[in-house]
Amino acid sequence: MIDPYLRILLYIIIVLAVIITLLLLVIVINRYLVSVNKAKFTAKKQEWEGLYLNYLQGDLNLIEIAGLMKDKKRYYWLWRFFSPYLDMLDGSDFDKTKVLCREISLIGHYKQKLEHGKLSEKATAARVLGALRCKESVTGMISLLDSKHQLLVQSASLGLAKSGKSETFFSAARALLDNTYFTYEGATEILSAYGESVAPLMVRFLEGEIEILNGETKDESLEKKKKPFELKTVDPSAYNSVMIDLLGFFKYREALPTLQGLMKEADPETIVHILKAFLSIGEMPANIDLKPYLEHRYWVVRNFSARAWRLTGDRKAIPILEKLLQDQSWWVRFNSAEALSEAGESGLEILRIKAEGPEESAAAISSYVLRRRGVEL
Amino acid sequence: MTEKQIILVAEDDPGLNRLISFKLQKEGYQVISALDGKEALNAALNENVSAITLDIMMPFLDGIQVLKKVRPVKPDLPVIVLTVKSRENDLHQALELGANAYMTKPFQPEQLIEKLKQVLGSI
Amino acid sequence: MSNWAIVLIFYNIFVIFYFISINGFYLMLVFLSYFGLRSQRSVERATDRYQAFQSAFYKPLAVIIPAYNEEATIVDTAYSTLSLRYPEYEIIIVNDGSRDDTLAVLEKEFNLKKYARDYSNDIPCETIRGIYSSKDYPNLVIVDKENGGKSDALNAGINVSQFPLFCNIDSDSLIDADSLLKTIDLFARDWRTVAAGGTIRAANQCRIEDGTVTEVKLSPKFWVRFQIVEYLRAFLFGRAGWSSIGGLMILSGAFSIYRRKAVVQAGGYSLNTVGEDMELVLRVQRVMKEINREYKVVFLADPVCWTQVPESYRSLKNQRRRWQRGLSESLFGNFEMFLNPQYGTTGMISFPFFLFYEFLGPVIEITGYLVFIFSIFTGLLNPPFVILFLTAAILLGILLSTSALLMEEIYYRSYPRLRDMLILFGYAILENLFYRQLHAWWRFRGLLDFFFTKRSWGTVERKSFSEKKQAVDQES
Repeated sequence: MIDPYLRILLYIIIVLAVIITLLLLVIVINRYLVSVNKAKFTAKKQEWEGLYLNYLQGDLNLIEIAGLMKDKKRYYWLWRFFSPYLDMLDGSDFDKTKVLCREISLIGHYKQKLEHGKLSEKATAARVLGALRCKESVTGMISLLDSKHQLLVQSASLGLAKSGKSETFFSAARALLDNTYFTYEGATEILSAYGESVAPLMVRFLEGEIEILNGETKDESLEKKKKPFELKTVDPSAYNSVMIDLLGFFKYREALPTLQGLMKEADPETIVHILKAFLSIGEMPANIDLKPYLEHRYWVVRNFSARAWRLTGDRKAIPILEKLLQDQSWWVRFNSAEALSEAGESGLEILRIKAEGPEESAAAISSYVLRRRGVEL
Repeated sequence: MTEKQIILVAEDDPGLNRLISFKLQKEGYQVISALDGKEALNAALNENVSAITLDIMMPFLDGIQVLKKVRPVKPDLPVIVLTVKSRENDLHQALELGANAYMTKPFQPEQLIEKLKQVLGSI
Repeated sequence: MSNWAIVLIFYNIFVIFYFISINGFYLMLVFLSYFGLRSQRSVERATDRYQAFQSAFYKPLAVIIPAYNEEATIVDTAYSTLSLRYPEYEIIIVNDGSRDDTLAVLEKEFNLKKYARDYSNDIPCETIRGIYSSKDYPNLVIVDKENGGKSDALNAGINVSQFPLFCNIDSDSLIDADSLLKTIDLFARDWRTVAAGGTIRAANQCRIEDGTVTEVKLSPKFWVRFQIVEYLRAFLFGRAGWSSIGGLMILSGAFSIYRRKAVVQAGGYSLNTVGEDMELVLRVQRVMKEINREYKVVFLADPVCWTQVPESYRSLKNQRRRWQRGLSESLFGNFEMFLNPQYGTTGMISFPFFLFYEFLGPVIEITGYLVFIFSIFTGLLNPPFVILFLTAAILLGILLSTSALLMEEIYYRSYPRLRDMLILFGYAILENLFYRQLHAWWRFRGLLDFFFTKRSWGTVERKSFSEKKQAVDQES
């Protein structure tokens, strides 16, 4: 081969060797810097903790502690320090912490980042302001709901939820379900942070008084008359699922009549959600007849109906429960047997008879459940 | 009471742990801190604690496991369980296993202390 | 002789071209994964992690652990999975007809009793002899069945669990308590996700207590250290890179999570391959495309699964031979994806890459070395060129490994001592001096195994396309 090739190779070799050395240097330096940084952070946190606890106790006043804690270069550290307290505390301690954060310009700093930061900074800012339950940043966060970056929509929704402004609930729900690839349970998770205050709104939605529309979302009180929002989502029942799950999660008893109303026309998935909600709330409307649901063609409905039976104690359904001991699905058989075991002596008697009986699956499940209960066969 | 009562604070977040411990100390209690389930169990069984504030989500052994192992040995030991609202099953389980009271996060430390006093006062 | 000379020269040029292109690709992957990891990092920072861990709304999950003759480690694995932080899950240990005391050991430790649990027949599998549950841990289920191999055991586990998601972990693997939630997060945040996986790290000689890795230590074992460097390369820039462009083709069998429905539609794990994890990922993607459903296969670098890697020359060699065979079987079992625009990035980029560079790679490497040496002896190539070229090649390899080490350093820093990183750097150098060549030879043998062992390539496909479509229509 000719000389130029050799020279190229030589250059390549030198370049490679240099890069490798550089990378190695970066590793070494980074390790050193990280450990130094970590030590500094730990020391700072200790210092701050001492001050903070005294402040909460009242031994240090706001001006004094703010003077000592304020640090323009360490906002992220301050956030990391305060974040567990903000997430886990409530009441006067939370309020005092928030006031302190405002005084040391933490809130101001992140409000700025929310408007003008890079993508990841905006997301972090939304997280921070949400944890601080900042109501003033609401407009900023609402504008993020229309972002094409899922991360921003997600952070903004969570931030809005924590800020407690229930008027933004539907905007956030729409953004999560329509603008992102979020599953409905992922959306439910985030929206649950709104707290019980949105329960009445959800009831009104399920009653059809509010619809969700694609278009401009305005932050106006929904107390005004019907605001039409057009449903544009791929899966309309996703909204219902979310709301029903949340009503169950909040144990909102006042939703029971609405849920009952929905049950009549609902598709099987929705029925399951409603039954789960009843179980969560711990109560079922008295005049719901479980029998058709116990015999529903979809096994999950039968399953949850059997579980929900204990909320009614309807003795007329017992023969159906007995029949379900031979259901195709193990879960249905199990829950029916469990239901019977809670049906008093007559229920137990049925199980005892079935345990000895000729039908295999019924016998197996009956004896299993009786054994679980510690009941003699 | 001339002797200080010893409270075991089992909470895996170190900051929160120290906060609770600090407040309890200001109220006149002595405090033992545990940052994970194993430490918590150890302290609960081997130290002369008067009550436990027990976080459920902890590394190594969660609060439920700790409670399961402590109750047979110390059936009268007051336990206040601390958890997040969405972990309902944990709450039910804990109460069934003999926890005396519970608090859900986010919580107010003063309320925790109130409950503690109640639960200690009733023995 | 002159004709031969021409052939040799061309082959040399071909080998050089191959070499440049494969390393070009790898360098690109390094860049892609750097940015991919960075964005994963910022997502983590901004996501309300605390909230996520407490969720009441996540879909229930089954952790399926196939076990064959694992009496020594099965209890630890069970405890490790029992300590996972997840709202609702069950653990299904499938005893695949073990000849040792696996079942007995479990029975004793967990107070098992027989259980009238039903199971579906969504995927054919060997006879299930019995299903047991634990009195102390109600979410622990043991399935005892006739021996059928790992894939069969997994399929049995899928049949027993009805939960919408399942996680497959090896019986000698340990997952971090939070790893599961971090991975499931992907399924909740994106409905298109059908499969997801995390990073596998070597647990050898790390301190393990109660089924958790409490202290990460760099193993002193020779062969393990090479593998650590390899795994860092494979995961931190291999998978991270492919995942960032949507062309991920492999998820580790040691830790991967799937949507049950998608796997059932694809027909479950294949019994005809030793690389069942990769084969399944490919097939699921193919089936999703066929039924026109948007899908995503995602790699997340943060969640870690700790596993014991082979410590001896022999077991490592056998493992790599098997992997190469598995790779070949997976590729050929799903060959219609090759350069098929219907399969997007996976079909047009990843598949050809794996075919040409990973599948054929060993052949080209081994013959390349031989031809190079031969060419020197016959005077076709002059020594200075060869020496320089080889030096450049070695340096390039070291560069790639060092990049992986750098990413590990920037993002994870699992090894607490700087000394460990420097040792790994030393092994990165050594790796290129003989380990790679050795590895190429093992893989070459794996290829020979593939070509010369009888098997039927077509039986992976169990349902016809129309049957699959029908099944989907019925379900929706």
